[in-house]
Formats: sequence, structure tokens, C-alpha cells
Amino acid sequence: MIMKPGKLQVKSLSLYIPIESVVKEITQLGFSEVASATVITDAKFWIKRVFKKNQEYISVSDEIGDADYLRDPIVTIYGKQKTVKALRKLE
Amino acid sequence: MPIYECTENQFIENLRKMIDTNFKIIVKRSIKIHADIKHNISRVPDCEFNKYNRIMRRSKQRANVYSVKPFYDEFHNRFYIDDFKVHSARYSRMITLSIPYFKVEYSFDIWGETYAYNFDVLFNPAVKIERRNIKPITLKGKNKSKSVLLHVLSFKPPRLETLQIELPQSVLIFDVNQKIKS
Repeated sequence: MIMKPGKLQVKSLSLYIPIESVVKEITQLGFSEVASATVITDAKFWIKRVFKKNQEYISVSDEIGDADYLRDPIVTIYGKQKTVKALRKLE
Repeated sequence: MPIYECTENQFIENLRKMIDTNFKIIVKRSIKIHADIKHNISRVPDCEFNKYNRIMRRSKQRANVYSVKPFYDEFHNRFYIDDFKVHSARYSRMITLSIPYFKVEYSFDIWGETYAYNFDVLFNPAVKIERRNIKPITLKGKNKSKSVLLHVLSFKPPRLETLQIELPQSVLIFDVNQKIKS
């Protein structure tokens, strides 16, 4: 599907990379953190951080607590195509 | 009518696929405050419990929790003395300190099936020293209340951005109280 570059779209990514790398990329894109909270879903505890840049939003959910399996931060984007593209490169 | 529970990633991606095919979608959203024992001080992971460690201690997750200082829980209107069992691992339904939270439910229906994503967002604790009037309990009957400095635990609601999922304007979001199963 052809998208207008300036049109805001939704996309969710499950990234098998450290949270620090994800946050670094988001910050470099010009986003700043506006809120964070402890979230419980799927019987797991997560820290959800919300980043904002003008009309664009990115939320990063990172699992916390004891777990011996590989964790994957969940990145949900409501943003421009170039923001989605930049974060998809991390996949 | 089957209801499929999704993770955040699954829910958003399912929704995105529908948006990409120009489907008109109505997303139902329910946000409700709860203060039951579902989320209590003993169950939270260590990094969350550390927010309380000025006034409470525990040996590990899901163990007994004790006060380390006298404190007043402003949300539940309860005063705890020093070294008091705040949470009992054995009687967790009766002796506990519950953490208030928002229960958030997002769902949409297609072809008679419901796809839902549910999550709870905890209130943020704040511990500060404040002057409070407390009434000492003695066997001698009536006592005048005393103004003392003590630790006060309060809970602040999370910011709205953490409860909401930002979606394109083509998606209609209806706020609902609860779904009644037919």
C-alpha cells in the first residue's frame, strides 16, 4: 500500500535488541520522553515509556522482573513513515 | 462469539492490517480505576518495590512485607507502626497493601469475533515526610490528637499518555463502561 510520507500511521514492532539501543535511536530521531508507568499485561510486569515529537508518539514497553528467557521490547509507533522506517531498521 | 486476547504487538498489528485495507473500524475503550488486591506490595518486582523501600522491607518477591518506619497510607487511610506486617504471604487476601491501578481494555469486532488487548497501569507511589495529626490509642480513654512529622505514602495516577493508544483519525474510538456478553 502506498502511504503519503507525512501521513501518520500505526506500527508495532517486537525488537530482540537491548532497550538502551531502542531508546537511543528514538532520542536521535528527536523524540523526548513524556511519561512512564508500570504496566501489567499477559501476567508480566513492564515499564512503559512514552515518547513524543510534535504529533508523533512512540511507546516502548520493556519487561521487568525475574525471567530467564530473551526479552523483546515492544515498540508501538504512531508516526510518520520515516519514523517507522528508522525503527524497522533495528529489527 | 469468540474473544481473542492479544498482546500489544498483536493487537496493533491486527488493527494496522485492517486500516491498510481501508476497513472502517470502531475500537472500544474502557478505562476504570480499581483498588482491589489484584496488585499488592508483595507481588511487584524488586525494581518497583524499591520505590517503597524507605518505609517497607521484604526478603524477596511474594514474601512477607514489613514496615521499617511508622507511616501513614493516605490512599487507604491507614497508619502503620514500625516493624508491622504490612503484607502476609500466608494470608495475602486479608493482610495486604493493595496498589491502585487503572484497568484498560481495548477491543474491536470483525465478522463476529472480538480481538482484545487488556492491561493494568499502576499508580505511582510517593513517600514524603509531612506533619499529620494522629490520635494516640491508649487504655485511658479520650486523648487529644498530636501533630507529628511522619512518612506519608500517597499514590499518584499515571499520566494519560500511558493509558492511551494513539490511533489514526480514521479509527473511531468509542469509550465504553463494560462489554455485556450475549
